[in-house]
Amino acid sequence: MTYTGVLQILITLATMVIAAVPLSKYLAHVFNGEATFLDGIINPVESLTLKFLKVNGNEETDWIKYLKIGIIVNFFMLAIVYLILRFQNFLPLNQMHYPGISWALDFNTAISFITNTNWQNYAGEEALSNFSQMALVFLQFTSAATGLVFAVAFIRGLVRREAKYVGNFYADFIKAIYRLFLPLAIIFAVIMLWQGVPQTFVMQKKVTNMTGIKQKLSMGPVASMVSIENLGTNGGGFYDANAAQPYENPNPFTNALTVFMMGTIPIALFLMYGIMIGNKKHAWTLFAVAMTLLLVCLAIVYSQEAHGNPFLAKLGVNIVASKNNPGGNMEGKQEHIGIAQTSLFATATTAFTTGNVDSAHDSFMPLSGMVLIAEMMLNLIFGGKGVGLLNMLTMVIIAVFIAGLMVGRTPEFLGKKIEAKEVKLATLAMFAHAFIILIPFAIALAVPAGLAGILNPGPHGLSEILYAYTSTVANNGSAFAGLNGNTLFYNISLGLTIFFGRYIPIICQVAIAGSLIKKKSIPESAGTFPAHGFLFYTVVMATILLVGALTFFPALALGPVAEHFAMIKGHLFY
Amino acid sequence: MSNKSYYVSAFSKDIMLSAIKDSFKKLNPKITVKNPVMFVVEIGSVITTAIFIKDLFLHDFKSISFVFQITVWLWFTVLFANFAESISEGRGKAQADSLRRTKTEVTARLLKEDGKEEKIKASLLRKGDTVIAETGDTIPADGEIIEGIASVDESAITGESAPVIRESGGDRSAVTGGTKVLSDKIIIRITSNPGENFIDKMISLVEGASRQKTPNEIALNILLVMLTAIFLVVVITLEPMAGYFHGYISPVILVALLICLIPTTIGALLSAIGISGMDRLVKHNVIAMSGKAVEAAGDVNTLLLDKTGTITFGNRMAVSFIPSDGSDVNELADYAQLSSLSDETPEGRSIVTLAKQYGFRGRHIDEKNIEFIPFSAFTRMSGVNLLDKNLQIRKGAVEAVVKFVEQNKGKVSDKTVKTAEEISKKGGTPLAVAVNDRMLGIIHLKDVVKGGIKDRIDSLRKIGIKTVMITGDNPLTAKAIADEAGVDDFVSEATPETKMALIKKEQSMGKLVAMTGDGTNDAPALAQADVGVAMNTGTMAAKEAGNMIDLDSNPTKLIEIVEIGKQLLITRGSLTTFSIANDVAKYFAIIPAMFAPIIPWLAPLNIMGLSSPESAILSAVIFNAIIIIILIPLALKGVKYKPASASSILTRNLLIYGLGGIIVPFIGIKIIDVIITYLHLI
Repeated sequence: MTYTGVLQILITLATMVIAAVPLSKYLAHVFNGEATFLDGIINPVESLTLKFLKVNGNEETDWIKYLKIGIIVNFFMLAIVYLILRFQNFLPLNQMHYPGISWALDFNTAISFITNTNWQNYAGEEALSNFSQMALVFLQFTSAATGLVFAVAFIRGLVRREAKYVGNFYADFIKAIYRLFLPLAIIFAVIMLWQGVPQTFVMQKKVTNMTGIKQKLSMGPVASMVSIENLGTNGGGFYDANAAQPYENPNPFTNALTVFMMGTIPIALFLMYGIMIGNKKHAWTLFAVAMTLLLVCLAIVYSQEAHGNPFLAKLGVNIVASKNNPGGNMEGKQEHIGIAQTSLFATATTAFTTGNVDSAHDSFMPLSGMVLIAEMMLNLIFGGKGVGLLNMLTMVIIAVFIAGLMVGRTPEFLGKKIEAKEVKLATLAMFAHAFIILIPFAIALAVPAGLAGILNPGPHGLSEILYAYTSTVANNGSAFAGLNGNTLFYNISLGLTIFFGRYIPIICQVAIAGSLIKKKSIPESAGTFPAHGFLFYTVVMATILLVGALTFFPALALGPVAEHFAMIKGHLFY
Repeated sequence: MSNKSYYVSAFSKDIMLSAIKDSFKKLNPKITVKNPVMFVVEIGSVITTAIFIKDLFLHDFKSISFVFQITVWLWFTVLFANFAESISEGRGKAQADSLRRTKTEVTARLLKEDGKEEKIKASLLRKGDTVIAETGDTIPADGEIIEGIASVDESAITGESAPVIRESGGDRSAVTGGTKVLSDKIIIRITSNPGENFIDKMISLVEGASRQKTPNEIALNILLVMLTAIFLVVVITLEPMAGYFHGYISPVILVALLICLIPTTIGALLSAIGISGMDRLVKHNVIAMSGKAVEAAGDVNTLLLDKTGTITFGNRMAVSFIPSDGSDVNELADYAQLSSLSDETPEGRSIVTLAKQYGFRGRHIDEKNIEFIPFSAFTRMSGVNLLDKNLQIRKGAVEAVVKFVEQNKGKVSDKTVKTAEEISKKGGTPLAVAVNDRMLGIIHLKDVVKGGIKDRIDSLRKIGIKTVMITGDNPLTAKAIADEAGVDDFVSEATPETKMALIKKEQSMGKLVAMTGDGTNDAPALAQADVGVAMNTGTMAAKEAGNMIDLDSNPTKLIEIVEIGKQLLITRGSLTTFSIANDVAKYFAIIPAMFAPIIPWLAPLNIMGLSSPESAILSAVIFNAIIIIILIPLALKGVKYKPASASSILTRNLLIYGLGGIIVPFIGIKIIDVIITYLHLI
């Protein structure tokens, strides 16, 4: 670890937090239906869109209808994109005449993009036409907006008392896209363009490079995809290698900027939540929980990567950082990005469940790999659009329930009683998350079709499969690149884990909102334990760590931890 | 706490023995299935038993000792859980038995319509029948006195040996079946059918027969079931993971791990905690009609405290004589005592007592020459006329006495009126005393606040409970008492309607309200309140409206009830935390042991340094079982509770049960491992 490395990391994170503060205020105004500075431009467009959809944006619905509309709209878009990819050979902007992709890959890809996962079992530049890529960009907007508005509905469930209606899905959805994602995407696409990211309809250029070799360069509307892919924490890049391909991530600045794009909105959503519920201290406490986890993860990854593989050192490889040698573990990393920025990027992409990668996570040190998997298992270190906040609040409900009993009252959260129904739904979301990761993972370990995809033997192979299922269930989309996912088994099973991993928790969580919204709010007294401050922080943190560790300890112990101890012992796998 | 005639200790030999017997009876899966966590343990025990038998028959003795020991400890786990429940029930059952003994067949003296008496069995009485009870009779069923007054021994129900007065009309008219008439004769209209008497209800309540799971218990159960489900998933995935490394984990080990991980500790103790919570109330002579009411008591935000009986002793007492208009204190005391001789009210008696301090005792009055003037709401005075001396002595409301003096052509100084006003301002009650045309002065009567009540109210404030004093007094008096007692708020000149309105207002803000009451006009408010504690001395209507009955009829007990409710929830929460926190150590014991043969380089995870894989697993299972037994007393007694802010209670319990829950099993499992190894059990 170097001072400049630490400084690069801290400056990037600090910038994100500073930017998140005004953004959170803006978002709170947007979803509270208050005036914002963009009203002049966006109001007409928005009302035109609603008119076109024949929706009265002021007409609110209860949680069931809100959820139903949301999911139906999702499925509708899913079907359209499925057809576009499947029949791209009949559609425009396909100069390379790529054929339609196979049904299984299409199933996996369409689900992957509608759910904000962006798991990619294909190489974008070699399989998709520009039209298909743009169809995916469309989903990158809508999937981010979907997660966000469900979180907004949840917040309203906490804020409103003895009420029924959580909002109008269409109105919230359009607001999220028009007032947040589109404006930011345009700004950041232009910045990326300025930094050298291509934006064109040309699919391929043949050039002779400096060494005189003829080379094909794949390109397309990349900048527009890179901006929303990260702003929407989607993560599905234009290229197979995502941000490890210089056209997506040309330099250390764009690398830091990409991290900034991933994390700022999720952080802002935590703070927006505080504004909307009128308890900023509470939101900052949850921010502190997530930030602590992020920093701890980052510290482990960075130190592990900077330290490098002791086994290599024994073989005489110089892994100590010096002026001429970055040292540490450089396998699968880009020289010009370096260890510090790569560690930050990897930690961020798994924390914010983006899934965009600028390095080969497969080549990380075992414990770094463990941290990346663990971040997705928790899925609440700010997390993806809205869902990170939802997962955090689900955990808070369980924490508050147990801790609330310990102070001798029926547990209450922000004045609302946490009763059987909320506990049932919160634990169901928790159970679903564990079930959908662990059971398919176990099946993959038990069947030949699952084992066939593994690149590395030994515990690392186990980690590869674990990473795949965790990443898909957490709707992250990044991969331990070793695993070959484009097989019938993985296309289907990962498609299913993505699907259930996305919708089951969301259904439970919006149902919690539906139950909470009906309740009275009990005024706070000395007898209620405060939902902010160090004690609350401790309770939430302990619950997260305990539940997370108890659920995933064995799998992590047998994958990355076993690999770590094997490495120390010098045990090799062939 | 008062005398407890039928309260039985939990650890008596009889209860222990029958609890052990019950523990085996409860192995019946039909019973165990009601407790899903323990049901999983039972299934696990059956599986390992089957494996043991299989090994025995196939002469596979490689690990049979290990399988046998695991199996035995798994069965012990279920038995210990059953034992915890049985022992908590046992106490209730014993109490019910002692209540039942008081319910021997009684003969009732049925009063027929023609006025004749007929002796029938009490069990034949129906609602609406009329019976007679005289000295020595046992009252055959619950009812209301419609004629007469009697002193009644209610010790069978309340444990209180001092007799109570019951009389027709008013709020003291209810009598309970099973109690005994000590003197006089009363006519009772029966208000309940056989089997529905208070004593029947009480039996079924203390026995736990009508026990239903409370809302928090249901919610907690869901959490435990879901945790169990998650751990089931975790354990299921271990086999394929071992398979990936070309290894195999025996089902016995998988079962052992599952049982160690699922929250057996709290699962085993949960119902015992609930039952003993109800039990603690019984110990305080409070009968809760449902567990829900006990839980609600812990949630109470607002306590409505009746001034009389709760905050003050209930009767105003004379504290000083303030002479005026030329009289001196002795003269005033003398006439004040004379005027109160026939006044049997507590106020009157307190005046007589106070006057004794001035040397007026052992008075002799010629009855022929004395005429008593009783108090009436119209004159608002009482007093005596001494005919021989032509003296008219009056005592009463200041205005009324002033008017009396003026009618007799006397004059009253401004000072007297001012003195009276000042006393009123301070919350006291001024009574003026006059003789003929002379005002003698003022008696200062004061409501005396109970000792220690201020501290109780302060400690309630600390736990976030607002206290509201309810009184029929005027606002001035009310304020003075409220200030003295330190309550947060007060309602003066309260009527049953204002009480009701207050409850509804608080509830509309999401607050839970508790109150006590005894009169029929309290009944609607008792029913509306989230916790309504009816006094046993109160009317049937009040008792039916409330969800708790205080057998001692001591309204101050509301505060204890709240504390018991809180303690119940705290005990549940703390043991849940402890149970879950335990898993960390169990993982560190079992996972390395489980994979030691398959992935030998995982050995560094065995941070406890347990001697062998088998002993590690067995130690964890044994710890898991005996921790239940160790915690039974805590479950029955409840976690220590001292009123404090939520934060400090939580901090304390997190440290003890959370952090302790992580550390204790590391130590416990290590100790058991050392013992097992020393004894060569493995």
